[in-house]
Amino acid sequence: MEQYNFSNSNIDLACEEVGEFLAKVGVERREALRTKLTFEEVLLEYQSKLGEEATFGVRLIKRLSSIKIEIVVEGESYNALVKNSEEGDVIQGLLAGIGLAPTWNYKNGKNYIVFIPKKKPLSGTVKMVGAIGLAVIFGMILNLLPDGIRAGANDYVLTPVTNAFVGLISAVSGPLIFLSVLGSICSMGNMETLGKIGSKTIKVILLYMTVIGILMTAMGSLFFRVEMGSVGASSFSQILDLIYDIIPSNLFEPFITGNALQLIFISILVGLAMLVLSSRVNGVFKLVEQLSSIVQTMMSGLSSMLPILIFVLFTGMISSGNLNAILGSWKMILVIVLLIVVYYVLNLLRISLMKKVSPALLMKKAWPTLFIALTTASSAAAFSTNTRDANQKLGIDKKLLEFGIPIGQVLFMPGFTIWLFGMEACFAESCGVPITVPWIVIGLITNILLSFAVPPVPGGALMGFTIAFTQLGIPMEVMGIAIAVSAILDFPATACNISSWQLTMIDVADSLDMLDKETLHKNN
Amino acid sequence: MTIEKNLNGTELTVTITGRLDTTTAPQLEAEFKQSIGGVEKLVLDFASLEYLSSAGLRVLLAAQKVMNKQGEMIIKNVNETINEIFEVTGFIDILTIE
Repeated sequence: MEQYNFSNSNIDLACEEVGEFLAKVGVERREALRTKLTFEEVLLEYQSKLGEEATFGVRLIKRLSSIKIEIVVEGESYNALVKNSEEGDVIQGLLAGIGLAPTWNYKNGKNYIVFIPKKKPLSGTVKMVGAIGLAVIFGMILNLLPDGIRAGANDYVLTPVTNAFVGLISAVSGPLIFLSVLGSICSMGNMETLGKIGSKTIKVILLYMTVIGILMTAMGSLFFRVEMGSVGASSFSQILDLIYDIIPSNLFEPFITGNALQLIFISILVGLAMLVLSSRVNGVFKLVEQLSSIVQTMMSGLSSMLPILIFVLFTGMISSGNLNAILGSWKMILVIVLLIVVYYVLNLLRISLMKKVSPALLMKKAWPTLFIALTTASSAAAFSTNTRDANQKLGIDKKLLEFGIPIGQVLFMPGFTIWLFGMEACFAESCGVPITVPWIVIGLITNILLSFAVPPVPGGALMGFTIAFTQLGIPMEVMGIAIAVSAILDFPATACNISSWQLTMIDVADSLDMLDKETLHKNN
Repeated sequence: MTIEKNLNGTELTVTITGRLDTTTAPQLEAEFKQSIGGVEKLVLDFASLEYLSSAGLRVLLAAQKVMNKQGEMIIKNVNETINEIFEVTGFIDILTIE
């Protein structure tokens, strides 16, 4: 890697190279612009701190669908990203985890700043629509061919390819979920420095997500045929069996069987043990971080091949004439969107009542962030508006927002929980899986755990679907539809997650005495 | 980058042509230091400005802070590229743009 000194002309050259790289790899224009400006800002900070004689190097990396820009600055340890913040490393780690901000790291006498910009979301949607279009054509052609050929295509191509994909996703999901939960707990360990703010925020998220899960599952069940005759001693024992089954009989069995709930349980145990041991297991903390990168890269690679899976699954469904799940997807989208809207309105009214602010005024203040999230399905795109309005319009203290916004975007996902339940129930109905009360409770426990455990990385939602469908006996053939409708549902779900958390932080701020009530009530 | 200044009483109009980046930002900064003392209205004409980098934004921010104490600063004729930069960085809420 070539080294440059911090002259103004070298900084300009480096910025131009980064701009060209971002355009070449297909990063969305505004994201590219934001990245380039932040990149320059970081170099200017180091120039100011270390002087023009210090040197830097830049790496521009594209592997599979993952894009990374790295600045390496030799010299004293200096985090150019965070100023005057005690929580620097934790916040930056959280932000980077959701692709919102660069990360800083110092090792072997060098400062490493890493940017992970996201590619244009539309390119994925276009590929998916293209795959479905091709599948419709191929499926219809196969339908016209003799039974023997259709059966052969199914037995020798479609089914083996589907099984291979689903097998690969399941194989990677286990380690990913284990490392994701473990990594989150390890980073929470640094919360000692956050004290009151961090622990209060986490408690609110855990409590609210559990209550929301129960409430919305109960409400959502009204839209489906639930077999009420299933309530009784045997259903209670089924639920108890699930809960006991979460505890594995040995530490390695969950990795072999791929039991996600057991993996989550073990990762929590291991994570807590690591927090207790702390600096004595520094090497393991590093290993967890590196293994997470490996597994996330594998999942990212699998995600880039999703159009192939969609093509194969849809072709199979259309050629076999089994269209129930496809035809039922309109109900899925309607039910999920309706539940998301109902939850959002209920949350808005609750806060309005408790803080004595008119719902119209609250909605007006929340609207800019909600609109950006709804039209982009991107927490990164909404981030700066979210932070600004939460402080200037809702009166939430900046110190709370520094931690609260990123942690909320990783853990507070009511939109995703509702989405999962709606999808599971619709597929269960169309595939003939009985929706019983134990089934609903098992789904509820699984969905709440998954909403915490599924990382916001490429392929994260796919992993969540695989685990949930396996747990609830939903056939994998519907995975193609699940992925296809994700392109639509991602928008309202993301908007719900981000905006409702912005409003819920009013509760957290008030309980910590970090809420400017005058600003909240002002019509600004 | 070229800078043209036009002083009319206590109103100074500065027209910037070209790119305001890390290399050229110090030039603008020096011009401001030299010229905005006693100015009550600073107008920046960006009609011919092609690109604005983070270094340029720093200079604008510093000028805004000075003009907040002694008068006002207005930016006019902002093209789509520059406007997008202001939006993405949040400067659209800090600066007065016509």
